[in-house]
Amino acid sequence: MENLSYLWIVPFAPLIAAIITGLLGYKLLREPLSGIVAVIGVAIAAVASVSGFIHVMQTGGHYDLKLFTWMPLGNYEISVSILWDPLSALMSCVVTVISTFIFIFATGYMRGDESYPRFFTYLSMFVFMMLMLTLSDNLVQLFFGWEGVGLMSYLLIGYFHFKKSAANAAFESFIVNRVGDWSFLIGILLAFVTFGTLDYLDIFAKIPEAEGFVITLIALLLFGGAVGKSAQIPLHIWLPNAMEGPTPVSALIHAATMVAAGVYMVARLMPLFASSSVALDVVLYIGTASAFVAATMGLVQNDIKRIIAYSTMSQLGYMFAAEGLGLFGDGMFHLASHATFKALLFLAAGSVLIGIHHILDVWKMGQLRKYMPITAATFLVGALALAGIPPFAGFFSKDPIIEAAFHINWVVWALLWAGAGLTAFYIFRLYFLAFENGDRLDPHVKSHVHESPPNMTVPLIVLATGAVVLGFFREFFLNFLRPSLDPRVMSEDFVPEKTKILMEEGLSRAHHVHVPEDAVHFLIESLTSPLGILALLTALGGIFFAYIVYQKKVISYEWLGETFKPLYKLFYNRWYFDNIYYAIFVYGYYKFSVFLWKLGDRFIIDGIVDGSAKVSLAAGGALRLTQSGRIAAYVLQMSIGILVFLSIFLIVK
Amino acid sequence: MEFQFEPASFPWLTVSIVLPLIAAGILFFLSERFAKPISIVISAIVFVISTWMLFAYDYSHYAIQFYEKYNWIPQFGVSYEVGVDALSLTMFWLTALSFLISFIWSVNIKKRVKEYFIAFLVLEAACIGVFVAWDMVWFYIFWEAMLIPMFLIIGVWGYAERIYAATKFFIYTFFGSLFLLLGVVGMYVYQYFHTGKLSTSYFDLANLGLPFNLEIIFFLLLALGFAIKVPMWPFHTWLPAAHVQAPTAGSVILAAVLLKMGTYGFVRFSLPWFPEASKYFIPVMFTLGVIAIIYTAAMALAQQHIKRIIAYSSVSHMGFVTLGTFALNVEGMNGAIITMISHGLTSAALFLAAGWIYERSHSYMLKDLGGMAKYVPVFATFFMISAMASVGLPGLSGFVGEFLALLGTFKTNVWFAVLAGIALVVGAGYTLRLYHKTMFMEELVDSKIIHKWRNTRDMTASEFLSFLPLIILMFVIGVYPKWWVDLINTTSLSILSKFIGG
Repeated sequence: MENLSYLWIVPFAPLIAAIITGLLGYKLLREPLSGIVAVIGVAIAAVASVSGFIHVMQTGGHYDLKLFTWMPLGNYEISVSILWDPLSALMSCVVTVISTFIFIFATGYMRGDESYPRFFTYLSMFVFMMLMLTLSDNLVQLFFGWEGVGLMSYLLIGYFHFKKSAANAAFESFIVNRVGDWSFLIGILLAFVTFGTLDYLDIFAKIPEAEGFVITLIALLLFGGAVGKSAQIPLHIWLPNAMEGPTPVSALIHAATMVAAGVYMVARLMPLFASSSVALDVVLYIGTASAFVAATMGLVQNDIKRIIAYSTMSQLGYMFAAEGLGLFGDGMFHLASHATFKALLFLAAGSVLIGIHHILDVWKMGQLRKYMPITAATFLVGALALAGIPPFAGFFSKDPIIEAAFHINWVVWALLWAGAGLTAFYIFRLYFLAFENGDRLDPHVKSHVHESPPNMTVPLIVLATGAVVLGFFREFFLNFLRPSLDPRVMSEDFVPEKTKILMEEGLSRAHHVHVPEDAVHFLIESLTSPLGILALLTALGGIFFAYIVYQKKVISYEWLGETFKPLYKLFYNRWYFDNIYYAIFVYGYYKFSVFLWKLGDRFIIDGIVDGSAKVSLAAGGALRLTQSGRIAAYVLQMSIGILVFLSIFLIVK
Repeated sequence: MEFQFEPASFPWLTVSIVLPLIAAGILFFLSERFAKPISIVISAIVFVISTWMLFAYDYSHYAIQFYEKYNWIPQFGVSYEVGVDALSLTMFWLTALSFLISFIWSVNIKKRVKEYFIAFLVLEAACIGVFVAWDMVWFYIFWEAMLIPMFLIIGVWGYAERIYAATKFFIYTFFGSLFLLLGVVGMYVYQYFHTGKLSTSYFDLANLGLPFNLEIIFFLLLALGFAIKVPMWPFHTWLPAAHVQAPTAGSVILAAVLLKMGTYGFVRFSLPWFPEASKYFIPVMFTLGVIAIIYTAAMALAQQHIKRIIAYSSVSHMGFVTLGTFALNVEGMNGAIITMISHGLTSAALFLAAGWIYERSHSYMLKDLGGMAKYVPVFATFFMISAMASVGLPGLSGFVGEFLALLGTFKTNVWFAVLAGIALVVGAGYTLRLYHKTMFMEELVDSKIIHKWRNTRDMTASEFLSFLPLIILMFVIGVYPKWWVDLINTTSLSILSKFIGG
């Protein structure tokens, strides 16, 4: 353990960077030094994470470093700590490595912004919070990070706070997340009352002592937080609007890391979730529903970032579905691979936006490949990975989930399978509209379009490389995660035997599923088994359909829209979630508050108070005791009171 | 209950009460220009004393420390008795801090400067007295003495409807005090009946062993006095009125110090004196606490006046204190006390922010504001941190208290904790609405207003200096609450000794 104590630097390097840029950014560092400080901070964290990753890869153990006691709670002490095991090591590598590339990209993307230092302060602070969340060994620190990333997300969505839409989106994201956090906090309280501790390892050890329905309840309450943070139905509405933030923010926070925190949390508390079949089912159904619904919403959007945002929500659904199926390793692997190719897609979109001066409507783009070849090529890699075409990463991380679902629950399978086809369609719709297709660019814009500078394209190329090769490490990652996620390999002091027995019940649903873990075997099997061919054909079909509609225009999209009008309207209006919420919570609640204020405080309470004041004033006047009335009335009462008591006192004496 | 006393080697507490009074007396005879420096120096000295005591206080065991007692009217058993336990001490410290900040903030007051500072100095003495006095006669004297300067502060230095607000404030609280007095006198009489002893000392009244029905009666009498002061729903309407009309420093004191007296009263008197009645009234107090949290959160959302929003948010936060107090367990009690401290910091900061905005814009109405953030970055940052501390973001002070209070409530009654947790959502709602409508959304704001911001000055030195300590302390409590919990834990256990057998 002693040789891992350097890991405190992982979260604190970005924090130090944030403090430096926050205090000195405007006065001293400005541009580009603030950005460089931020990149250095996160790069240090990345190097330390990777070295810790290698260490834990060799030993497979877990290390619990307590940094200091935050607050005592009876016999239990909440501490600030680092729990370093394969799961947290992987997550912190994903966070820091992807952040590093996004930070580098952002130094280019944010060039010339008047609040450049503020941007990097927020971004570094976000990474700090995210790592506190990732590395925590207890629920309170997790909650600290959880709310902290929420705050930074809020601040970054509202980065262009002078815009009404940005400020409103930020507001919405904070409030919706808080609904989830309410559930999460109640879950923490229930866990503490049940177990008397909030440290993961102690909770894992004490699971067998608690009653089954309490475990289920805790898991579901905590999952309520994940639903908010990871934008799952019914708390998903904030994510598309969150695209108001600068694009690197969308890439980092609203695609790669923060929104995946819910998935990570469920994996982190895997012994808890696995001990309750009901909880796993809920995770499965919410995830599946979100995966499918989000894919349908993504079909008809016209805003380049929103399309990708819906795909994020959808892919997060796949991760939750994997966890619900008992395949926690697959869920986490999809998280890592999704983080790579989704960050890539967003950054490529960001590169496009820089090139065409922040026009978001895909119908005003076209033929960008000519002007931005690197961006187009890397975007294509990302799109292929998202669509699940071999040999890109998404194929090796997403298709095993769909295939496993077939053996466990065919309804789930059908939705996930259909969602995959839709995904392939809408991402290639975006690709063809933006990079190929006709010439719809504004002539003025066209004269300025240019490929982005190297500090933006290099991260794109690196991430694209990741999206190509990462899939082949599937077996390595699954094996790497086993000490954290597989009861058969977990050490006794991580999760004791009694708990493992309970977990078996939840995990048994996936026991008869045998998806090959080695990437090459999986690829061969997919190309030979009917199920695999079906999945592959669906993805290709989606791409082909997008090709003939938006590139070749064999089928007109207007005709499609007319023919399937009810569906189109449903999808375009996002299944009316936003309208309903707005009517109830924003409009309704506000009106109700105003009404309540006028009725309750103004009319009833103050009516009584002022009324009685008037009565006593009148009484005072009638009695003509003094001229001032009100105060005198009370002086009189007080005197009478004292008199009464003094007389009792005297009589008794 | 057995109490231990550790006499003070030097009468620090008496000095802290007397110093502001002497300063106020001297100011009468000096010219106006001495008012500010003398007030700031005196309040700084008191603050240093209180901070030193915070560190000198031995929290390893429960005892009334820095204890002083002098006979006053022995025939009636009245003596001058002051001392602190951790609850008194933290409240004393918070009072000293709030006054120091108010004085620094008030350097650019123009109207009747001398009288303004005299009123505040007298108020400071009275407020400190309330928290450290252990003789009921003195407690009551301080409790009432505080009303007069506060009445004047609102009534003289307030805004347009100040007379209505000041009168409402005065009558409401005076009305409550009357019942408080009635209760205390009643107990005094009962004590004589029962033991033949005449004493107004807290420690004697704490061991009366009242029969249940009398406990109920006395509990209700005292509770009415305290509930108005907290204020608890439905006795809260004086507070928004008073805040809206009060000058900024007056609002700071009102929110940070005066509101704490009600909850202090519940913790200090109601629980140890009437344990059975306290248990009996848990459902009532919980209900009122939850109504305060949820109902006033809705009130806050409905307002257009920024000080009224903050005032309602205060009521909402005090609901957590009520819940934590009547959870009758040590988590709840620690949570209640830390929420009291934290609310002192956050509400003071938010009222300073409101005052700051008014100085620049000459309006408290949301419709006249908006889009400032870009032009005043330092202020925007401070305001944001205060707002976040207020909505209970972990890492800042608000979360610690809310978490503990909710945990305590949860242990006593799950459903009230679940309901109170709604504050997490609605609290964020009204606080962010306030922030957004003042600082953000520049594109919606009239260009004339924006022009005003463009030429506005970010924080001045005095504003910065009075804001900064609050911000630092929000972080100190939020990042390392262990120190504070250790400090108050023995006190909480002692206060609850009749409930948890400690």
